[in-house]
Amino acid sequence: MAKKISPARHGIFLILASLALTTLYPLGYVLITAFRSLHDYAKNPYGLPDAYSLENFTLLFKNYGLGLAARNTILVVGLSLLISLSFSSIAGYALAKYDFPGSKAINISFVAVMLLPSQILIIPIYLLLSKIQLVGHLPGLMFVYIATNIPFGVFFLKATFKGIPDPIIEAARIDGAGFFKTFFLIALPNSIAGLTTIALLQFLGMWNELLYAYLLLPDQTQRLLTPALASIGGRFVSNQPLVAAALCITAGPTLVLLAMSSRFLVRGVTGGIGSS
Amino acid sequence: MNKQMRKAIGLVVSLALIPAVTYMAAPSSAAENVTLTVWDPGLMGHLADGALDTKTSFIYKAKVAYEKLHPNITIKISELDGGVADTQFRAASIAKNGPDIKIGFAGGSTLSFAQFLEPLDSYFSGSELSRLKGIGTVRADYKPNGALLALPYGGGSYFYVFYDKRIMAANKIDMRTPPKTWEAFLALAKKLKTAGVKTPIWETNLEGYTGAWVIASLVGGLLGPNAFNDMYTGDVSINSPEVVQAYAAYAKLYTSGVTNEDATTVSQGDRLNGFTSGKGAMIIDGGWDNDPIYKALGSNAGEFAIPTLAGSKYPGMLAGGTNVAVALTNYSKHKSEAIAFMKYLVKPRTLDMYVATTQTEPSNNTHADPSVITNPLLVGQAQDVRKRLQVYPFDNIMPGPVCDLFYKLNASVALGQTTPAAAAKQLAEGFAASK
Amino acid sequence: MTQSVAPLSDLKRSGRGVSKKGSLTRQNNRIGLLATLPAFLVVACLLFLPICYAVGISFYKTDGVTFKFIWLKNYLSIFTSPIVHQVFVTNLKFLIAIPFVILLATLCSVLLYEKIFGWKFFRVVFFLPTVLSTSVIGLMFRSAFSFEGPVNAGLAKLHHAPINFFSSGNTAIFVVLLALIWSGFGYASIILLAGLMAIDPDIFSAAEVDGAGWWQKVRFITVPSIRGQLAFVAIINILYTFTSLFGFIFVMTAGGPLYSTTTLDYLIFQKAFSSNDMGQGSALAILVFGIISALTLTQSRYLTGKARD
Repeated sequence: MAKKISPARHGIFLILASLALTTLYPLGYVLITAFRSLHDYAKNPYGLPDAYSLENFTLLFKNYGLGLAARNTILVVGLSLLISLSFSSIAGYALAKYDFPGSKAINISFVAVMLLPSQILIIPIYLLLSKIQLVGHLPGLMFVYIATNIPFGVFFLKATFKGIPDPIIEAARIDGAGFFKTFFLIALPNSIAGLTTIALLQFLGMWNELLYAYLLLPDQTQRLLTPALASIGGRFVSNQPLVAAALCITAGPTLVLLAMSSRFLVRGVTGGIGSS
Repeated sequence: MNKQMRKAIGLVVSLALIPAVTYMAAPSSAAENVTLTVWDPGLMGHLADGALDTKTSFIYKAKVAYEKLHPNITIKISELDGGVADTQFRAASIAKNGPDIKIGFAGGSTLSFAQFLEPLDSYFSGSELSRLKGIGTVRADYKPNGALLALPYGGGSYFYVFYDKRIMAANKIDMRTPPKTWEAFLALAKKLKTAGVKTPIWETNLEGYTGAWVIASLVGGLLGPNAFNDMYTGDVSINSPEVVQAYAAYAKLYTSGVTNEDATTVSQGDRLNGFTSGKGAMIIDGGWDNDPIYKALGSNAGEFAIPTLAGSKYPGMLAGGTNVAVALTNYSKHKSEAIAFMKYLVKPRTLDMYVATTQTEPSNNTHADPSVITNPLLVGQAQDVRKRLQVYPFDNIMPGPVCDLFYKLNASVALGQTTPAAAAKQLAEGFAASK
Repeated sequence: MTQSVAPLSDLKRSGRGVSKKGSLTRQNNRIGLLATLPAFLVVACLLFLPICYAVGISFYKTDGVTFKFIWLKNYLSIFTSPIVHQVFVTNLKFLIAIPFVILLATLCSVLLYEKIFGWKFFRVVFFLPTVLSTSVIGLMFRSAFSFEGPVNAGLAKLHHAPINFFSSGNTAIFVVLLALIWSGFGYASIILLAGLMAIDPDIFSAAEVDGAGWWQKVRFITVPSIRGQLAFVAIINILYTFTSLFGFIFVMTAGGPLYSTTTLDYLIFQKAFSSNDMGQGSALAILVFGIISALTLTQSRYLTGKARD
């Protein structure tokens, strides 16, 4: 598909490159700042450092109990993601390929939930969870993450599964394959890109979430990674290199995941193989 | 198809069970062992680089000492994020699963949670309470016979101007008699400016906090120690000529060219660091920053209370007051144990430990040992507290939404976008609407 | 939480997705219902109940403990509050970002589609802001546009006086708008790119044979065929403007000076969390919900209707 390069395209390439620069420059700046000492940073915040050091990272690891936070995060985000994706994909498949009474109502109710400003639900959700004794326990937070991620997950995966041509599924059904067989053997394998995309998006949502993570887990020993680090990125701390190091630790995993899944992203949002 | 349905149900049930299994019921404690939970929004914990340092945190020292004395009591402290602490406490209290003991701000903040707090009058004798200063800041509606909603903790922090003695000396300014009026303070700053000091006053007023401290001092000087209590009860109007006058004088701080140019858009977080890294000769701040300022400047750090306006009826009024309060929740299941711990907290020696550890405020116990104060800045403040009249600030007294409006208006007046008269009027309206 | 992606096939309604229902039996109905049940139950328990609670308290004056039924007073006071009016206008100002996001995203996606040199690299780089949380982005823009920040340092080199960006409502909104565009266009590009990939390449070759230039191809083939995706991008961005600016505002301006950068969701947050306004916060959220639903409905009707012509 490589094309000949015209002068106009040179100009356009420059535009794209400068756009990319606005993205890469601040990230690079944060990365460099994270490896400077406060002293070095204060001397010349926007220049290159005289010396690189790991002191911000060692400070963070020493003072923040990041190991425990990482364990909690993996548990909460991992399980929530797994359950949310399982429920959403089964429901999304049913809504995409089965027409049953009530499907429309369920669909509309999920969309409506997505349009509601979520701030007002915080206190009611807290009260509900405390009724069932889940405040202060990791599963309480998991329930919230699962519930808040399902509506969009269903919505997205329904679109993805719709892209699978009906004849393939019909053929399998004629061969005697039931709901779960067609789901596991046809729907899922044909929707890897879509699943990866929604998994990435839901992971980001959970990983970057702060409010419920703070409110539902008041105990320090249950802190998740992002909330544990976010406190130093707050308004009232001005040790920029330390904040930068915290940003690196929080953003690191998401960037790695993005790099790993980028080839699925475009295909993922096309809504499955059917559209291409 | 039945088989499939069973499979489906099995899948659903097993997935739903995962969290339920991970959730393990808290072990039921033996009857004699009691765990007291304490929630602290960072007021009694010491942060080092944003992380809690239990070794230098007063509340953790108190916990260790108390648990040693009472082996059957375990004290569990949660340091809450300041930004969501109030919501967290409100939600938890509605659900009745909050802490036994709540540490928070005295004044309006404590009063706003009155419905969740146990009145303490019956637990403490009159003589016990008479040893504690600041009781009036935590009584319902600030009435002398109002329910005691918390114990005031510490002598409070006051609003000061800190300065670098070296810069003053280099410009031949004699600080043995610091400025006595607001006008003299601005004149001093101008003098520094003409002498070539780039930023006489380093200011960071994005949030409008400086305004809160300056207005407290200026209005306090004009209207007296009960200025803001009287506004709360409605005896004095917020939209009074004195408030307008104070706002006008405060606005001059930003129009006289004595602050950094971006004074109104730099955030509170940069106040202390900017000053200690030499960005200005003076800052307007409060006793809570005694420790870092002394650590950074040592004996070169000087201070004087934010001065009152010339011609004030109450010159030299000191603005500030009880900052921290310790409350007991009315849904606590261990009230008697919690009261015992609270009694321990307000003992003269425990408060001395608090003062010795934090060096931000003097003790509020009449039997305090003044020798635990080692920070010379706090020594000066403690002297002022003994000698001068004090006014309890507007934002300590008023309910949260009114304070938020107050801060916004302060920032806007500093920017020159709201006139002093309009600010007083809007503040009065906001207060009326909050009732 | 995160921004949302495409109900592409929903919006396109190309007819392809409509499956034959003839083969479905009642048992299939039951399976379908059963399969949606876990998702539905979780959402019903954890979201519908709280929503009912929120709708309920919008008719009360309440602090969470005492409840006083006040009919529609919360709603009425919203309609008459000058602050809400101002905040609503501020939200409308933030809609300015959307045409820019769409324009930039269209340009980027067309170029990525044409596999311009380094397109794989750009694809990842443009998506980067999406993985960062709004508070991180807010923090970055805040320091970049601070008085002594790099932007003003650049202006100084051009002999321009430094600008105090956060000192007035409009310049502060300008910075937040930049942050919105910057963080939103990459995500939109990916969605549009997905739409482009679905276009039959033969159409382009046919057009080339007919002598169509680059611009004509974009104008008459590319844009019309990704109308569905464009509609989707517009809708999620409107949604985003009304519900998810909180992180930016909180970090960058705290809603000020005064209320000049306060957005609806920031106001809802403040009201829902303050002591005596829980009911009013709910009422405001429900009104915003109404606005968003109406906008989403009209826009998707209009655009899909047009696409079917």
